[in-house]
Amino acid sequence: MSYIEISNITKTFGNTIALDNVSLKLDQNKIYGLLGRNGAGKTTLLNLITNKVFPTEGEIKVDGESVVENDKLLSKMYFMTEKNLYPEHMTVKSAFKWSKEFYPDFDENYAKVLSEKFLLKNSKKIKSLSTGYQSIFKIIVALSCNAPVILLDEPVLGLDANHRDLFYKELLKNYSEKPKTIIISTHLIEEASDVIEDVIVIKDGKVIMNDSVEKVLLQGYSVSGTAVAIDEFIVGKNVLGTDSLGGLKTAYLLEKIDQTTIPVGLEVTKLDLQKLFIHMTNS
Amino acid sequence: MNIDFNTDRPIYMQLAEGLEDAILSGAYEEETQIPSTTEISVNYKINPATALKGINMLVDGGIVYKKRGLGMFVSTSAKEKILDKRKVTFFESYINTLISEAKKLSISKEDILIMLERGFNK
Amino acid sequence: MRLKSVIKYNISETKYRVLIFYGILAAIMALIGCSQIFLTKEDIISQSSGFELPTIIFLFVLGLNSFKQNYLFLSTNGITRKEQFYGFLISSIPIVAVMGAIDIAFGNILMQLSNYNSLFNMIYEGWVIDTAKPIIILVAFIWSTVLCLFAIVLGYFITTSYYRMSKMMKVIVSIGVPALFFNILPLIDSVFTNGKVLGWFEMLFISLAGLKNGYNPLTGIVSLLIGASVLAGLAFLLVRRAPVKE
Repeated sequence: MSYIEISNITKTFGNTIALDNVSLKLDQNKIYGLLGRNGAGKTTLLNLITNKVFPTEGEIKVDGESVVENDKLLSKMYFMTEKNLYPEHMTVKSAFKWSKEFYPDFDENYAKVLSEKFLLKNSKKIKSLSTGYQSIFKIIVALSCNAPVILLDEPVLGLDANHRDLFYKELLKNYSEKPKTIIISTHLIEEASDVIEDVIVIKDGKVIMNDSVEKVLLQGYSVSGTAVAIDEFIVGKNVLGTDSLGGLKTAYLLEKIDQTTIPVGLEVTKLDLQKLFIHMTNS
Repeated sequence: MNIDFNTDRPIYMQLAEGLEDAILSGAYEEETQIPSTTEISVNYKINPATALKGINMLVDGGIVYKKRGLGMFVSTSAKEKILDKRKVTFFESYINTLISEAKKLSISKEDILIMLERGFNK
Repeated sequence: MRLKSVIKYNISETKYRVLIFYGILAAIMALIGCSQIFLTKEDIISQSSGFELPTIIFLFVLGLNSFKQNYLFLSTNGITRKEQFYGFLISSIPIVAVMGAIDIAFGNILMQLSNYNSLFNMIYEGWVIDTAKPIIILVAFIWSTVLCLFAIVLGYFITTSYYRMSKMMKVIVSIGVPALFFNILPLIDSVFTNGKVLGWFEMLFISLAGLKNGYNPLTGIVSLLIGASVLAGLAFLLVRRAPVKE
């Protein structure tokens, strides 16, 4: 049985449909990447899983129970929101103290060690921190609270290259030592693509892909050659998009490559997750 | 051990190959321990499941083995096994590519042989 | 259940605000105390009655500020809306009880020292005259506490209603409700019903306060309790399905 079961979820805000009849099944203790363009419905989905908002239709179950106002389940999940929802006057230190109050398994020592690694000053007010350090603060709470489910919405927002590197390493260390279900929503696909095990792609409120990264990467490839040859080759194939440059044409395909059927003169390249994503979500 | 991952092949295969290279180069001697899944995962920022899959490939090939409670160790005949395997794949991965590229560039068989001679004499 | 943690958080958040409030109040009192030296006794009587009012206004404002920030923070920490609501109510009780008690103690000290008259004593004048002092103090304390509770719950109800309203609704309510009670209703009343509606409102208020037939503070206490319960119930309905939003 799946750990998180999202069944026929629709969420509307006034006239806009944020999520349109979404169904998903997520396994326990896996790292998921939630990808989608701005406004695709990623944050709404995470908000629904943690019952921050109510679905217009459908139901979300975690460990077999509905999440709606479920104290037991909500105490097992931490949602690192993109926006800062901590009070105006609260310092990092007191936020850690309160996190310990609300998440009894919160590891204060670990939070302190991580703060030192990221050079986060604990005496500062959260609201006075830069965007990057606000992200770091929230990352530290998410990693230290020891909740079996953590959802990270744009965790690397504002982080420099070194801190992003440190974040992925600490995340993997944490995950290896204490396996948990992690959902990372991010725009920086290239960096995250090796870290995540499964990928979920949302486009215009609909899930258009939910598969293991390895499988997805085996499927995507691009083929280029003369326009005539390409047009002939792609007939009947699952084409995500095409590019033309003079007489040269490139087609992006999503299906298992069969080397023997590739005509002479056509160049085949594998697609990475980012390229695949771009071509899948282009409108 | 330094691996530059690319998108041509699955990461776990590249990892397995990188570990094999490290064993061939003597970085991991026979009967010594190789890094754990966690260490590999954190160091290369790859999912532990991917790292495990890469290591399992080596286990299946008899190149490393598990010592209960200690970790993964390089088998006694690891180098030999890797060399044997690589020789088998040499034709497929190098000769075939060489020939198809040569055809594209209209390089004749004789020219290739001359180039090979030159390469070996360097 | 993490209700205990929610209560602990609410009280720690409120603690400083209450201390600041009393700090300011003490400063004002000191100022008045100083001026007493220079003023005649008659002046002071006219100035110093009903010190409960600042407390009530403070608690009303506290109620107004008790929702959004706490709601966002507690929701981030995975606290259900129900627990947050109960947490608010339960943590309000010691706060209003302590503040009610301080008011009573303060009022009684002032009444010993000067011609000061507490709000309770002024409203229920007729009852106070015939009642023994310990009973007056006890009833005044309960009345004061319940009034404080009503004030904080009223603030909480207003802020939760605003939180659930759309921008358009907020504007309509902000203008519409005061206009209804201060302009439209009096106007209609004076033109069509000859002051009957306002008269009826006045009677209702007097009855609820327990002043219709003589002086009955117990009626006032019960009315305030019922009022606070109704508002709390309505607030709960609003909080129960509140989404997290900024």
